[in-house]
Amino acid sequence: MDLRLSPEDVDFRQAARDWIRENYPTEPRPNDGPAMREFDLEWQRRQWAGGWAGVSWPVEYQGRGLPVLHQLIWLEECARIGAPDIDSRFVAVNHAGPTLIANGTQAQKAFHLPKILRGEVLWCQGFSEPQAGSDLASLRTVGVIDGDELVVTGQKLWTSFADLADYQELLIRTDPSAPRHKGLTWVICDMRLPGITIRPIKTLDGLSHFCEVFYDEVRIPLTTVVGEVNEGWRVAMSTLSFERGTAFTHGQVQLAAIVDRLIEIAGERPAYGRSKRGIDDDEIAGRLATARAEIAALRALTYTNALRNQSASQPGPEGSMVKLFYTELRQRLMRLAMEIVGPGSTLRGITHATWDEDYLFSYTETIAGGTSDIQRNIIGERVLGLPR
Amino acid sequence: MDLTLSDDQRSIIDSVVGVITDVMPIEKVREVLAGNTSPLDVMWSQAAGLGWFGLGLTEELGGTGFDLIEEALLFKEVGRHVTPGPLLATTLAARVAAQGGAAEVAAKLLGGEVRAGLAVPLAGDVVRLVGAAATDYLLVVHDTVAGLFPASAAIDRIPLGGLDELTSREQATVSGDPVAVVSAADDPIAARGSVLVSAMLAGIAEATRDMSVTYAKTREQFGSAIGAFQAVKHRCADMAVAAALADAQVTFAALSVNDFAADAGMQAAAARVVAEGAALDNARETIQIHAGIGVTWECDAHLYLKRVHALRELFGGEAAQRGSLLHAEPGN
Repeated sequence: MDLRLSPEDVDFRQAARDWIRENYPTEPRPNDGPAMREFDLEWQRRQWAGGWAGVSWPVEYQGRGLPVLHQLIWLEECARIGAPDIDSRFVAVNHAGPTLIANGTQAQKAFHLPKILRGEVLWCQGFSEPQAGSDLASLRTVGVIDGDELVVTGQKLWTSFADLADYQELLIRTDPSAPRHKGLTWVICDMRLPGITIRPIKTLDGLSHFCEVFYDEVRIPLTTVVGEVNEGWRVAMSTLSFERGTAFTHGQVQLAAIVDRLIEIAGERPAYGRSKRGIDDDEIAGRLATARAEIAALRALTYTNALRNQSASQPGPEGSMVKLFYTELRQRLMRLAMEIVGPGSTLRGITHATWDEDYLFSYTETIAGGTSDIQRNIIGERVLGLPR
Repeated sequence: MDLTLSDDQRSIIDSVVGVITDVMPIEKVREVLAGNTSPLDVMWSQAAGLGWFGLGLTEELGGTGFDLIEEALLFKEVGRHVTPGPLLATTLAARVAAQGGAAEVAAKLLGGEVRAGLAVPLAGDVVRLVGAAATDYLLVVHDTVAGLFPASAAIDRIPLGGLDELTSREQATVSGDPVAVVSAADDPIAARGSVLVSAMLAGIAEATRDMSVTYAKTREQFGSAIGAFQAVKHRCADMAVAAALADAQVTFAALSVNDFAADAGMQAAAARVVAEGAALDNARETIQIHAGIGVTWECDAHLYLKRVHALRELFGGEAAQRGSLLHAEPGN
């Protein structure tokens, strides 16, 4: 085992650092709407033009084909300098792309992968429904085969950026008589098809990043099915394990930046509602120190999982450990931030305009992409082998 | 960067586990606990014969020439098996003797002829001796310097209580001259010691996780294995996360300290904080999951819990780790 970077790794990091510094968007990112979409796609287009899109995507799909270590270095360098998080591009770049690479037809790959890397499209994920949250396999949106089309009727919920996306990873029930995991199909849905209605939902931070989506006899060509009809559960699970692999690297660097800033603030002023500077308050100082230790360990675990699994075709269930710990740590840390800066602080936030928004957003993270409780089930059953 | 175990590293782990399961399985640990020290003597000669005490020492100085990471792998197994005896103190003492010019003492320590205990500096010459009963040398480790003294240098020895019946504690005053001294600038003994304590704690976190998972798969209530219930399953999942974080961070700390990396102090402190938390939490959860059995003397859970407390007082307490973490360079 060795932590040191090779000369090639150091050169890669330096080249990445130089390019990002010259090219990352420094103007404030719009909070939502078409302006945010354009901002995010423009950053993706710039990465493509500069030869930095898809660092670890295979060369045959116009990625760089570099090892996962370079992917981690790239993500860390972007985050360190304050370049935008992947956010609205997440489903396209981190879900749909890898899922199509693993399961898509040649035609699907040829059509969609370049659009994703070149920053031409956003994707969204149509998995959850009103009656299918943690129990995803109970979903009810149906697809009936009619000639060479699927006719889809039903409703999806908690679909982030549905109102801004071009395509959707849509999971539907195509065989109602089969056991619940067996009758599902993963299909690429063009969000402009007739019969789709999208309603944004306002979240506790006052923003509207996620939506409910209604499908009224939407006709989707069968050629857009990924994997086989009724094989959607397997395809969906591969998608989710990609999400739980290296996807939180940018966020982890943000955590480090949050602690750095909190230590700075705690050294400058009394903690909210207390008389001592935060750094002189044993309880606050202890929690800040513990957070730094936990962030270091989370990084070590992310690197360990990523480098040990790089020969595997898709990430293992260990990704759930990173997802669980990262999101819970972020929430704990933002609660500490509230105790240091206080609510309504005029200090600038780290990932949002204000600390209030950073704090409120942390409540969404332990739910999105599979709740903490579901992650604990996955770890218990698939990592530790406990009975269902 | 490479985070996979090499063939050498795998065989070191296999060899250590082989010796411990052969000569110091938990039944033998309990014999030592009951006052019979002969299993310890058997283990000591095997450990010395296999070069455990010089694993991380260069070949010129009488060691095997591996690095801190290999020592960490060894001590993780020591933690995992609640192995008794002053293994860590003797390993560090051999380093200090070899590098401090006391070649004969080093040879005896490496060869298993003599043993060393640890002395934690308190104030002035007053120290707390940990695991120093029936040892021949005492290793006094300050942040900046480590000194090896003959056991006779400790006067006014007063036995102290302690949670871990397998680790003696005494208060004493150290007087006289050391047989060898090494400054931290030449070899950071305190930092190495702290990393190896973290490695033992990570081993305890894994062992208690495994005990709990095994029990949760076999113990039945309400007509099914209790591990099927989320109340138990989720505790096990949290134990798995804590153990995985501790293990990964101990690896980063061992490699960083060995390389004299710029962030070695932060990495080592992070390993201590995370490994202590994981070991203590997992030991607690193991007792809880075993329920009535868990609070009996017969159940091994208390051996782990008590060992955590014995290890916590070595090489810098919580305040020292906090300082290293808060004053680390921003943006690790």
